Amino acid sequence: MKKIKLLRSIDDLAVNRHSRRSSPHASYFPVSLEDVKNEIVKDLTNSAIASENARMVKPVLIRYADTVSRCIPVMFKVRGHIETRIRHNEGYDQHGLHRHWVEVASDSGGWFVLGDEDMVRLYEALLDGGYLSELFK
Amino acid sequence: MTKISLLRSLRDLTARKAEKLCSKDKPHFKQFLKVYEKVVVDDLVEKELLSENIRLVEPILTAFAKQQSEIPIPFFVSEKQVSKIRVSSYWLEVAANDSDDWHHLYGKDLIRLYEALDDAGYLDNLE
Repeated sequence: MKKIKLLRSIDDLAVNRHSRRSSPHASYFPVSLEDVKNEIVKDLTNSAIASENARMVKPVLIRYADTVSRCIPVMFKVRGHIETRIRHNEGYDQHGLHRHWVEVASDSGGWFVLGDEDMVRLYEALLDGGYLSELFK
Repeated sequence: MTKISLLRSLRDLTARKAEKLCSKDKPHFKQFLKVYEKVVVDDLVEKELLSENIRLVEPILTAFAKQQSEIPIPFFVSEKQVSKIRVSSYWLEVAANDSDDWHHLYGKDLIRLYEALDDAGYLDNLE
């Protein structure tokens, strides 16, 4: 098995990502290590923002599904499919911790767990449509 | 329920994390935010390093656990010594020698075990 070198800093992360991008099959456009570092920080920030936003909107969507409606009254698509139903579900994760999550389904399809960015999109669509106003009274 | 203001930038994220530590009414809040931004980024980078390192060491520890069931060095998880390792359907598990109480090995513990085995030379001949 090939020996691995653990990553200890953002520079190591950047070198790791940079070497993948500099492979003969990767992009023809040269990118500097500094650019890669900036990209890493931007990616990490965006994903942290998405997950923090999802953490904030999840209780609202759960309350919506539990008390207002189990229908999605706005056009909401996930990977090209229109989802029309919403529900709150709960259970245990792989670490044995009790978790709550939001699930959606189309008219004829099965239920699936809504990801972070999709939760925020649904929250914004419901908010813009005025469907959350009674929760914020 | 109070209306949520969604976060749109690193500054928003920093303010959100800093909220827990100090009040917006305090005069030095803005100055504090500028310094705190670096702390937030460092924290994100540290988490990313951990998850990337886990991704790197997991296949090696899995190969090790498939080859042998004993942990040949003193190794502690949550202050308890564990000496057995196995691959379950989804993850690696460890247990004390005299116990069948298996625990999921994850996060920093995976890295610690990899480093300890590597330092002691137990990964050198791994296929």
